[in-house]
Amino acid sequence: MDKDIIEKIRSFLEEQSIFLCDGLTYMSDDIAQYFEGCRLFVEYYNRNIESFRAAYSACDYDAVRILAHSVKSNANSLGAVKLYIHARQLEDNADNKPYVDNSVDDFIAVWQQTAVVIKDVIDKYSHFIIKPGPSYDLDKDTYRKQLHSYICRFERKQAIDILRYVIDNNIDCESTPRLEQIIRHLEELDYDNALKTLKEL
Amino acid sequence: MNTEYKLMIIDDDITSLTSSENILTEAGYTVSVFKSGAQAISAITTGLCPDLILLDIAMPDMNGYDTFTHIREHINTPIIFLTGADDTASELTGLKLGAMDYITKPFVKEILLARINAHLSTIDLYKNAASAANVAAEFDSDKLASMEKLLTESEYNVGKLIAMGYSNQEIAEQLCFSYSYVKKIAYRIFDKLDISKRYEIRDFFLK
Repeated sequence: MDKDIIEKIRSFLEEQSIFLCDGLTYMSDDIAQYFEGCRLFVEYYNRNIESFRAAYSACDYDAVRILAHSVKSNANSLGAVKLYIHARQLEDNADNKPYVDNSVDDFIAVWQQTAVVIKDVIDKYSHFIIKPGPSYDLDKDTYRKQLHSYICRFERKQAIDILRYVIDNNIDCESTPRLEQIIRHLEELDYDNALKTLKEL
Repeated sequence: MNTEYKLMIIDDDITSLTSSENILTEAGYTVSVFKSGAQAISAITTGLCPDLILLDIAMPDMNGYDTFTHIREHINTPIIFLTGADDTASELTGLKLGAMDYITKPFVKEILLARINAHLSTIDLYKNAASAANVAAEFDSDKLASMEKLLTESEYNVGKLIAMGYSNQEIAEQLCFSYSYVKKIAYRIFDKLDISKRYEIRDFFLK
């Protein structure tokens, strides 16, 4: 990626207390890896925030602590310092109900704001990162066997890569909705239903 | 390439899990991933045997320490805690349990890879020693092929070592399994091959 573009991203993020340099340190200066981290943060944001709200509503403070811990770690890896500090304080004080009650709204607001900023960066700049996906020599018969084997061995990324390749290259067009369903199961690490759906093809 | 090494990651936080999975897969490792200790243990009991396990600590239902203890009931694969818990007490607990290493998240990608490489280099030494022993034992390639079809990966590896005359304790040490797990696998093999004496297994593997 062009240095000027990286500088634009750095400056944009820094206005929102997200420090690209910190994130890049963790990613060994691999900007593509940093963007992948951003993509994952945004992709799982809705699910994670729903889980957090549900845990808080149910007064499950142990779950609140575990979820705050996850947010802390992910925020730190992206250099999102403000969110990291809020998450860390919430994790450390999760057994202090009045503290949680007083800080939960601020925490959610910072989390939301961070997700919006990161999504904005992805939308504006991710097309500058060209990362070719893996290539396979597969036909309709062979990919299913290969896929079955990966799922049985819990090798999720390889399975998802093959599925995306099959979908993108129209290798098994009529099965596309089912293949997308398998991807969704694998994204949730639900291997049983992934296999079940594969068997239904 | 690193594909000969099988790594297992256990982490309830899918964002963090996927990030580690991507880094390690890109580095060429074969990576299996699990969102809970229970899910991983279930896979281990059906024969999945990684070379190295990366284990989170703060997980609901079964935390990393409990998962560690349960895994140890089945296999002795080296375990590294990969966790956001950066306090001394957690690190000490993890290392006292017997973890090979304790790495805090977020980690520096290159450092994580370097540490994993360093830990796996000892496995290379074992593999070389094991392959030298295989040559000496004069295995029958046709018999090996049919055993590979009949047995699971763990059963096959244990069966080969039984045929070479190793004791259950020695096999446990070589394969990083617990003694009781090797014993259990040995019974399964005997059942499948319909034999009752250890020496009888030689007919199914050796010339």
